[in-house]
Amino acid sequence: MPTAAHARVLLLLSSGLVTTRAAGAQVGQLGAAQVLSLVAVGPSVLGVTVISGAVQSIPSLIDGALNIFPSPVVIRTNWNVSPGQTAIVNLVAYFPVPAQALTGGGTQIPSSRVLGRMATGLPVAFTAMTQAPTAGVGTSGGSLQLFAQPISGGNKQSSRTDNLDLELDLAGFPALRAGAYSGTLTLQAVTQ
Amino acid sequence: MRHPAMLAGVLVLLATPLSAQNGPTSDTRSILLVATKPTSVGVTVLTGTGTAATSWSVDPEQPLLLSLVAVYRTEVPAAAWRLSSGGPKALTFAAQHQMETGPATLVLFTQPISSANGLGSRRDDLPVSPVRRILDLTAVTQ
Repeated sequence: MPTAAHARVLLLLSSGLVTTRAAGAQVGQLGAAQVLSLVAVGPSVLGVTVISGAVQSIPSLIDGALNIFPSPVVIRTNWNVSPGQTAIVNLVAYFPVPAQALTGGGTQIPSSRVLGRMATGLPVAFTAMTQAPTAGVGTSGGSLQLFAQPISGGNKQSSRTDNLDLELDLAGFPALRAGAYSGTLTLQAVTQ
Repeated sequence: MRHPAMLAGVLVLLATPLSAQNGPTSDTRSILLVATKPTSVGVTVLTGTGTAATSWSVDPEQPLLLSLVAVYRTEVPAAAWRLSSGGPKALTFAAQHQMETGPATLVLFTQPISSANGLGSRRDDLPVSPVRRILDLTAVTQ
Protein backbone atom coordinates (compact mmCIF):
# COMPACT_ATOMS: atom_id res chain seq x y z
CA MET A 1 0.00 0.00 0.00
CA PRO A 2 1.63 3.30 -0.98
CA THR A 3 2.18 5.65 1.89
CA ALA A 4 2.10 9.41 1.90
CA ALA A 5 5.90 9.41 1.75
CA HIS A 6 5.81 7.18 -1.32
CA ALA A 7 3.33 9.48 -3.01
CA ARG A 8 5.59 12.45 -2.51
CA VAL A 9 8.60 10.60 -3.93
CA LEU A 10 6.65 9.56 -7.02
CA LEU A 11 5.45 13.10 -7.49
CA LEU A 12 8.97 14.46 -7.28
CA LEU A 13 10.25 11.88 -9.75
CA SER A 14 7.48 12.75 -12.19
CA SER A 15 8.35 16.41 -11.93
CA GLY A 16 11.97 15.61 -12.69
CA LEU A 17 11.07 13.66 -15.82
CA VAL A 18 8.85 16.43 -17.12
CA THR A 19 11.62 18.94 -16.54
CA THR A 20 14.13 16.82 -18.47
CA ARG A 21 11.88 16.39 -21.50
CA ALA A 22 10.96 20.03 -21.62
CA ALA A 23 14.60 21.07 -21.51
CA GLY A 24 15.39 18.80 -24.47
CA ALA A 25 12.67 20.37 -26.58
CA GLN A 26 13.95 23.84 -25.98
CA VAL A 27 17.37 23.63 -27.56
CA GLY A 28 18.89 27.03 -27.92
CA GLN A 29 16.70 28.55 -25.26
CA LEU A 30 18.28 27.16 -22.14
CA GLY A 31 17.67 29.09 -19.03
CA ALA A 32 19.37 28.86 -15.69
CA ALA A 33 19.81 25.31 -14.47
CA GLN A 34 17.52 24.25 -11.70
CA VAL A 35 18.46 21.53 -9.25
CA LEU A 36 15.87 19.06 -8.17
CA SER A 37 16.63 17.03 -5.09
CA LEU A 38 15.16 13.56 -5.36
CA VAL A 39 15.02 11.97 -1.97
CA ALA A 40 13.92 8.37 -1.75
CA VAL A 41 12.39 7.61 1.63
CA GLY A 42 12.08 3.95 2.61
CA PRO A 43 8.80 2.58 3.83
CA SER A 44 8.08 3.09 7.52
CA VAL A 45 8.12 0.10 9.83
CA LEU A 46 5.42 -0.01 12.47
CA GLY A 47 4.54 -3.08 14.49
CA VAL A 48 2.54 -4.17 17.51
CA THR A 49 3.17 -7.41 19.37
CA VAL A 50 1.17 -8.79 22.26
CA ILE A 51 3.79 -10.35 24.48
CA SER A 52 1.30 -11.77 26.98
CA GLY A 53 -2.30 -11.42 28.03
CA ALA A 54 -3.86 -11.90 24.61
CA VAL A 55 -6.71 -13.70 26.36
CA GLN A 56 -8.20 -11.85 29.28
CA SER A 57 -10.55 -13.73 31.61
CA ILE A 58 -12.76 -12.94 34.54
CA PRO A 59 -13.83 -16.31 35.95
CA SER A 60 -16.59 -15.02 38.20
CA LEU A 61 -18.42 -11.84 37.25
CA ILE A 62 -20.12 -9.89 40.02
CA ASP A 63 -23.20 -7.85 39.21
CA GLY A 64 -23.22 -4.18 40.13
CA ALA A 65 -19.50 -4.07 40.82
CA LEU A 66 -16.15 -3.30 39.27
CA ASN A 67 -14.70 -6.50 37.84
CA ILE A 68 -10.96 -6.57 37.23
CA PHE A 69 -9.19 -8.61 34.59
CA PRO A 70 -6.46 -10.10 36.77
CA SER A 71 -3.42 -9.81 34.50
CA PRO A 72 -2.34 -6.99 32.18
CA VAL A 73 -1.93 -7.11 28.43
CA VAL A 74 1.79 -6.64 27.77
CA ILE A 75 2.27 -4.83 24.46
CA ARG A 76 5.44 -4.12 22.53
CA THR A 77 5.33 -1.43 19.87
CA ASN A 78 8.25 -1.02 17.48
CA TRP A 79 8.88 1.49 14.73
CA ASN A 80 11.45 2.62 12.21
CA VAL A 81 10.26 5.91 10.76
CA SER A 82 11.64 9.12 9.34
CA PRO A 83 11.43 12.06 11.74
CA GLY A 84 10.82 14.27 8.74
CA GLN A 85 7.69 12.34 7.90
CA THR A 86 6.52 11.14 11.29
CA ALA A 87 5.99 13.27 14.35
CA ILE A 88 4.12 10.83 16.59
CA VAL A 89 3.55 7.11 16.94
CA ASN A 90 0.16 6.38 18.50
CA LEU A 91 -1.20 3.18 19.94
CA VAL A 92 -4.96 2.81 19.94
CA ALA A 93 -7.28 0.20 21.45
CA TYR A 94 -10.82 -0.04 20.13
CA PHE A 95 -13.89 -2.19 19.84
CA PRO A 96 -15.13 -2.67 16.28
CA VAL A 97 -18.74 -2.33 17.48
CA PRO A 98 -18.81 -0.12 20.58
CA ALA A 99 -22.36 -1.11 21.55
CA GLN A 100 -21.32 -4.74 21.66
CA ALA A 101 -17.95 -4.79 23.36
CA LEU A 102 -18.90 -8.05 25.04
CA THR A 103 -21.92 -10.17 24.23
CA GLY A 104 -23.48 -13.31 25.63
CA GLY A 105 -26.89 -14.82 26.27
CA GLY A 106 -28.57 -12.11 24.23
CA THR A 107 -27.03 -9.36 26.38
CA GLN A 108 -24.72 -6.68 25.01
CA ILE A 109 -22.19 -4.91 27.21
CA PRO A 110 -21.07 -1.61 25.61
CA SER A 111 -17.52 -0.29 25.42
CA SER A 112 -18.39 2.38 27.97
CA ARG A 113 -18.29 -0.44 30.53
CA VAL A 114 -14.76 -1.50 29.60
CA LEU A 115 -12.04 0.59 31.20
CA GLY A 116 -8.39 0.67 30.25
CA ARG A 117 -5.31 2.02 31.98
CA MET A 118 -1.75 2.36 30.75
CA ALA A 119 0.42 3.74 33.53
CA THR A 120 3.23 4.44 31.05
CA GLY A 121 0.91 5.99 28.50
CA LEU A 122 -1.95 8.48 28.28
CA PRO A 123 -4.77 6.94 30.34
CA VAL A 124 -2.84 6.70 33.61
CA ALA A 125 -6.16 6.18 35.40
CA PHE A 126 -8.83 3.72 34.29
CA THR A 127 -10.70 5.33 31.42
CA ALA A 128 -13.76 4.15 29.51
CA MET A 129 -13.22 3.12 25.91
CA THR A 130 -15.49 5.80 24.51
CA GLN A 131 -13.05 8.04 22.67
CA ALA A 132 -13.01 9.00 19.01
CA PRO A 133 -10.55 7.47 16.55
CA THR A 134 -6.94 8.67 16.60
CA ALA A 135 -5.47 9.57 13.20
CA GLY A 136 -8.18 7.55 11.56
CA VAL A 137 -7.67 4.43 13.66
CA GLY A 138 -10.46 3.23 15.92
CA THR A 139 -14.21 3.55 16.10
CA SER A 140 -16.27 6.52 17.15
CA GLY A 141 -17.19 6.14 20.79
CA GLY A 142 -15.37 2.86 21.15
CA SER A 143 -11.70 3.78 21.28
CA LEU A 144 -8.96 4.63 23.75
CA GLN A 145 -5.66 6.25 22.79
CA LEU A 146 -3.05 4.42 24.82
CA PHE A 147 0.05 6.47 24.08
CA ALA A 148 1.40 9.14 21.77
CA GLN A 149 5.15 8.73 21.37
CA PRO A 150 6.93 11.83 19.97
CA ILE A 151 9.48 10.95 17.28
CA SER A 152 12.82 12.66 16.85
CA GLY A 153 16.18 11.75 15.43
CA GLY A 154 17.11 10.00 18.62
CA ASN A 155 14.26 7.50 18.59
CA LYS A 156 13.34 7.19 14.93
CA GLN A 157 14.08 3.47 15.22
CA SER A 158 13.00 2.18 18.57
CA SER A 159 10.38 0.31 20.57
CA ARG A 160 8.57 0.45 23.84
CA THR A 161 6.76 -2.06 26.03
CA ASP A 162 3.67 -1.14 28.00
CA ASN A 163 1.11 -2.83 30.23
CA LEU A 164 -2.57 -2.37 29.54
CA ASP A 165 -4.83 -3.04 32.52
CA LEU A 166 -8.50 -3.72 31.90
CA GLU A 167 -11.64 -3.58 34.00
CA LEU A 168 -15.31 -4.30 33.41
CA ASP A 169 -17.53 -1.86 35.28
CA LEU A 170 -20.95 -3.32 35.99
CA ALA A 171 -21.96 -0.72 38.58
CA GLY A 172 -25.50 0.31 37.73
CA PHE A 173 -25.68 -2.20 34.91
CA PRO A 174 -28.61 -4.63 34.87
CA ALA A 175 -27.87 -7.96 36.49
CA LEU A 176 -26.44 -10.48 34.09
CA ARG A 177 -27.68 -13.99 33.62
CA ALA A 178 -25.23 -16.77 34.22
CA GLY A 179 -23.10 -17.62 31.23
CA ALA A 180 -20.09 -16.49 29.24
CA TYR A 181 -19.68 -13.01 27.80
CA SER A 182 -16.95 -12.39 25.27
CA GLY A 183 -15.61 -9.75 22.93
CA THR A 184 -12.54 -8.69 20.99
CA LEU A 185 -10.46 -5.62 21.68
CA THR A 186 -8.34 -4.48 18.75
CA LEU A 187 -4.90 -2.88 19.07
CA GLN A 188 -3.33 -0.86 16.27
CA ALA A 189 -0.50 1.67 15.96
CA VAL A 190 -0.65 4.64 13.63
CA THR A 191 1.75 7.47 12.87
CA GLN A 192 1.03 11.14 12.42
CA MET B 1 7.48 28.84 -17.90
CA ARG B 2 5.47 25.85 -16.77
CA HIS B 3 8.31 24.44 -14.73
CA PRO B 4 8.33 26.99 -11.91
CA ALA B 5 4.59 26.57 -11.55
CA MET B 6 4.93 22.80 -11.28
CA LEU B 7 7.71 23.15 -8.76
CA ALA B 8 5.59 25.53 -6.75
CA GLY B 9 2.82 22.94 -6.73
CA VAL B 10 5.19 20.30 -5.47
CA LEU B 11 6.43 22.57 -2.75
CA VAL B 12 2.89 23.38 -1.69
CA LEU B 13 2.16 19.68 -1.36
CA LEU B 14 5.29 19.14 0.67
CA ALA B 15 4.38 22.03 2.93
CA THR B 16 1.17 20.34 4.11
CA PRO B 17 1.36 20.10 7.90
CA LEU B 18 2.37 16.68 9.09
CA SER B 19 -0.26 16.74 11.80
CA ALA B 20 -3.00 16.68 9.19
CA GLN B 21 -1.68 13.55 7.55
CA ASN B 22 -2.53 10.09 8.83
CA GLY B 23 0.54 7.98 8.41
CA PRO B 24 0.97 4.28 7.98
CA THR B 25 -0.64 1.88 10.40
CA SER B 26 0.53 -1.35 11.92
CA ASP B 27 -1.24 -4.64 11.54
CA THR B 28 -4.04 -5.08 14.06
CA ARG B 29 -3.73 -7.30 17.09
CA SER B 30 -6.66 -8.82 18.94
CA ILE B 31 -7.27 -9.24 22.64
CA LEU B 32 -9.97 -11.75 23.54
CA LEU B 33 -12.04 -10.73 26.55
CA VAL B 34 -14.00 -13.45 28.32
CA ALA B 35 -16.05 -12.89 31.45
CA THR B 36 -18.11 -15.63 33.01
CA LYS B 37 -21.07 -15.24 35.30
CA PRO B 38 -21.43 -18.44 37.30
CA THR B 39 -24.77 -19.95 38.12
CA SER B 40 -26.08 -18.71 41.43
CA VAL B 41 -29.17 -19.37 43.49
CA GLY B 42 -29.98 -17.61 46.72
CA VAL B 43 -32.69 -17.80 49.35
CA THR B 44 -33.47 -15.19 51.97
CA VAL B 45 -36.12 -15.28 54.63
CA LEU B 46 -37.59 -11.84 54.96
CA THR B 47 -37.66 -10.95 58.63
CA GLY B 48 -41.08 -10.65 60.16
CA THR B 49 -42.97 -11.57 57.04
CA GLY B 50 -42.71 -15.33 56.92
CA THR B 51 -41.76 -14.99 53.29
CA ALA B 52 -38.92 -16.66 51.43
CA ALA B 53 -37.28 -14.63 48.64
CA THR B 54 -35.57 -16.84 46.08
CA SER B 55 -33.38 -15.41 43.34
CA TRP B 56 -31.45 -17.15 40.63
CA SER B 57 -29.08 -16.48 37.77
CA VAL B 58 -28.52 -19.48 35.60
CA ASP B 59 -27.19 -20.08 32.13
CA PRO B 60 -30.18 -19.93 29.78
CA GLU B 61 -28.39 -22.38 27.52
CA GLN B 62 -28.88 -25.04 30.17
CA PRO B 63 -32.59 -25.47 30.95
CA LEU B 64 -33.29 -26.95 34.34
CA LEU B 65 -35.68 -27.07 37.26
CA LEU B 66 -35.24 -24.99 40.37
CA SER B 67 -36.86 -26.14 43.58
CA LEU B 68 -37.07 -24.58 47.00
CA VAL B 69 -37.07 -27.21 49.70
CA ALA B 70 -37.88 -26.67 53.36
CA VAL B 71 -36.29 -29.07 55.81
CA TYR B 72 -37.52 -29.21 59.38
CA ARG B 73 -34.87 -30.52 61.69
CA THR B 74 -37.24 -31.86 64.34
CA GLU B 75 -40.15 -34.19 64.22
CA VAL B 76 -43.25 -32.52 62.99
CA PRO B 77 -46.70 -33.86 63.66
CA ALA B 78 -48.57 -33.44 60.45
CA ALA B 79 -51.63 -32.31 62.31
CA ALA B 80 -49.69 -29.40 63.81
CA TRP B 81 -49.20 -27.67 60.53
CA ARG B 82 -51.29 -25.48 58.43
CA LEU B 83 -50.48 -23.34 55.49
CA SER B 84 -50.99 -19.64 55.32
CA SER B 85 -52.72 -20.07 52.05
CA GLY B 86 -54.15 -22.89 50.04
CA GLY B 87 -53.48 -23.93 46.50
CA PRO B 88 -50.79 -26.25 45.22
CA LYS B 89 -48.52 -25.71 48.21
CA ALA B 90 -51.16 -27.10 50.51
CA LEU B 91 -51.48 -30.21 48.38
CA THR B 92 -47.73 -30.67 48.21
CA PHE B 93 -47.45 -30.22 51.94
CA ALA B 94 -50.12 -32.76 52.70
CA ALA B 95 -48.63 -35.32 50.36
CA GLN B 96 -45.17 -35.11 51.87
CA HIS B 97 -46.04 -35.25 55.54
CA GLN B 98 -47.52 -38.65 55.93
CA MET B 99 -44.92 -39.63 58.50
CA GLU B 100 -45.04 -38.10 61.90
CA THR B 101 -41.48 -38.97 62.91
CA GLY B 102 -38.11 -37.81 61.64
CA PRO B 103 -37.20 -34.62 59.80
CA ALA B 104 -39.86 -33.40 57.45
CA THR B 105 -39.19 -31.97 54.06
CA LEU B 106 -41.41 -29.88 51.94
CA VAL B 107 -40.95 -28.82 48.35
CA LEU B 108 -42.29 -25.30 48.35
CA PHE B 109 -42.13 -24.85 44.61
CA THR B 110 -40.52 -26.16 41.46
CA GLN B 111 -39.71 -23.54 38.87
CA PRO B 112 -38.72 -24.41 35.27
CA ILE B 113 -35.78 -22.29 34.08
CA SER B 114 -35.28 -21.54 30.42
CA SER B 115 -33.92 -18.76 28.23
CA ALA B 116 -36.94 -16.64 29.09
CA ASN B 117 -36.26 -16.54 32.83
CA GLY B 118 -32.58 -17.36 33.32
CA LEU B 119 -32.40 -14.40 35.66
CA GLY B 120 -35.26 -14.05 38.08
CA SER B 121 -36.69 -14.06 41.56
CA ARG B 122 -39.87 -14.87 43.40
CA ARG B 123 -41.37 -14.61 46.86
CA ASP B 124 -43.36 -17.29 48.60
CA ASP B 125 -45.12 -17.45 51.92
CA LEU B 126 -43.69 -20.06 54.22
CA PRO B 127 -45.97 -22.56 55.89
CA VAL B 128 -46.74 -21.52 59.42
CA SER B 129 -47.02 -23.63 62.52
CA PRO B 130 -48.17 -22.98 66.05
CA VAL B 131 -45.14 -24.96 67.19
CA ARG B 132 -41.69 -23.36 67.07
CA ARG B 133 -39.53 -25.40 64.75
CA ILE B 134 -36.15 -24.92 63.15
CA LEU B 135 -36.52 -24.58 59.43
CA ASP B 136 -33.79 -24.86 56.82
CA LEU B 137 -34.46 -23.67 53.32
CA THR B 138 -32.46 -25.01 50.41
CA ALA B 139 -32.79 -24.12 46.75
CA VAL B 140 -31.70 -26.90 44.46
CA THR B 141 -31.42 -27.24 40.71
CA GLN B 142 -31.77 -30.37 38.65
